[in-house]
This record gives sequence, C-alpha cells and structure tokens, in this order.
Amino acid sequence: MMARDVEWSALVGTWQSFPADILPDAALVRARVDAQSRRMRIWQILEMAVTIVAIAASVIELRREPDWTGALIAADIWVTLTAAWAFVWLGRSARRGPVTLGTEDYVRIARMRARQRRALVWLTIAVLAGQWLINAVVHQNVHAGALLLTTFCIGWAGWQWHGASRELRWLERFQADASEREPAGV
Amino acid sequence: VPEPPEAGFERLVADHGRALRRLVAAYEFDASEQDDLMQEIMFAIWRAFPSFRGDCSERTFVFRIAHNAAISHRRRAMTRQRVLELDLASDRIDPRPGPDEDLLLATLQRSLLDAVRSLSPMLRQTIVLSLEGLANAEIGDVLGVASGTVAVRLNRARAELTRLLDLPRKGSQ
Repeated sequence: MMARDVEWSALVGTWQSFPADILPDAALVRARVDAQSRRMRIWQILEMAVTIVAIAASVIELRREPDWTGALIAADIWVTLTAAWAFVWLGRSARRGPVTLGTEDYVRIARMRARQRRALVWLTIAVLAGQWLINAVVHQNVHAGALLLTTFCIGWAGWQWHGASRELRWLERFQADASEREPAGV
Repeated sequence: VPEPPEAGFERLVADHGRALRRLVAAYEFDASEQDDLMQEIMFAIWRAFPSFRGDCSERTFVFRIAHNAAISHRRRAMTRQRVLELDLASDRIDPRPGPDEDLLLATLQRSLLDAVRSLSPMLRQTIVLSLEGLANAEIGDVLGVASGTVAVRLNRARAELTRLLDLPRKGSQ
C-alpha cells in the first residue's frame, strides 16, 4: 500500500513539474472579451432592427389589406421570426452555457439543448411547409427564387439537425462511459 | 474592500494558469488546439468571474469552468470532423508528440501525459484533478458527483494508468 502511495506521489510530482509556463496574457483575454462583446452588441442591434422592420412591414401590410390573405402572410412572418429568434436564443444560451456547474449537470443541460435544437429544426421545416402552402394559396404560383431559398433553408435545417444529433450522441456516450461501470447509487 | 474584477482575474491566472495549461494538454494534442482551448477557458473564466460568490473554493470554480469548456471544445471538434467514429476511443487522436512538445517534455512526463490522454474523457477528468492535488470531495464538487463515485473512477483511472505506464501492480512486488 505504501509503495503504491509513493508511486502515486511520484506521478503527482511528475505531473505537476510539467513545464507549463506559457501563461495567457490577461490583458489579451480582456481585449478579446471586449471585442467579442462589441461584435455581439452589433449583431443584436442588427437582429432587433431586422425584426422590427419585418413586424412593422407586416402590420402596415395587414392594415392596408385587412383580408384573410394579409392576415395569413402576417402570421407567416411572425411564426418565421419566432422560429428564427428561438434558434438565436438557443445558440446564445449554448455559447454562454452554465459553465460554473459541475460536469454532470453541464452535460445534462448540453444534452437537453441539443434535443431542443433538433425539435426546433422540425419547427423550422413545419414553418417552411406552411410558407409553401401560403404561397400556393395566395399567389397560386412558385418563383424560382423562392424555390432556391426554400431548398437552402431545408438544407440548412438538415445540417443543423445532423450537427445536433452528432453532439447528442457524443454527449450520451460521454455519460454512458462514466456510468456503465459504476455501481448504481454511488 | 472587494477585489476589482481585473485584479481578481489576473490573480486567478497567476494562481491556476499552470494547472490549466496541464489540463489543456490532457485534452488536446495539437499545440494550436491547446492555445485555442486555453483562450476559451480564460474567456469563460473572465465572463463568469463576476458571478463568483465564494460558495465553492476558487480552485473548484476555475476547474469546473475549465472542464466544461474543454468538453464543449472537444464536442465541437468532434462535430467539425467529417468522419466521426462514435466510439469515444476515436477521441484518442494520434498520441505521437509534436515537435514543440518533444522539446518541452522529458520522457517520463511524456509517458504520463500520453497515458492520461489515452484514458476516456471521464476518467481523464478525474485523474487530472487528482494529479493536481484535489481531494475526492473537491473533485466531486467540480464534476458534480458524489465522493464515492469519484473514488470508483479514480480506482479505475489509476489501474488504467498503472497498466499503461507498465508500473508494478498491487501484489506483484
């Protein structure tokens, strides 16, 4: 037992003697944080501006033509904006993350967010299908541009789903790796 | 008088920077990835530092953030890779040392680092914290598990290390 303790102490000594002298520059980190905060603020202002313009345009259009087609288009815009904001919010909260939690809770929340991202992809696809339906009912024809945009959006949604699924599988394996050989209730 | 965030952050870097460098080396093989992860950890600590209320030790706080940032970094790296083996063993990338690392690490340190890197992420986390001198209860605080669980993982991790480093096993002396 003592020999093992000595051995372990030797390993600890070896580990802690690693030449890890290249420390990060605190001023550089602060500069990076400031720069990223500035970029995020600019993005937030842009996103808010686009949202306000889109909502204002849909309301003006609805007041100009207060029939069922106008209401349908306005509803479509609002649902699309809601889905887009949900993605933005999820992305931001994933980046911020509950980093000060213990690993178990952190991984559990990361899994939950990956599942939410997958659910959001389905919502996006539902919104796209709704837009197609509205387009078909209101305009009775399909633009090549709209077709291209929809294809792009579906591709993007598929890629998001794929990424979220990979993350989810990795996280599940990560947790399983810890629990499969541990006695229950430990 | 409360410490200004800038001063607190610089003190954290001075106190725990070397331990974090070792932690980063245990997670990432490539030097540029290591730098990237180190920056991410520092970034996360800087952002989280104002919320630190002293409900755990400063070391626990720093290691929690560092491990969570490292998990996110690995997760993103795995997602970026076009061919993804789901087996976590694929996380054990080429363990051969890079040219810079060769200059820095002596043989025994190299072997230990390689052995730590070849453990599964969960065992790696536990052993790195233990090698940094954290007690089981403190490791449990960082990982969010009970001390008993830490003890089980440490036993497994130490047995793996013993095998990988070809150290004499219990009872074989």
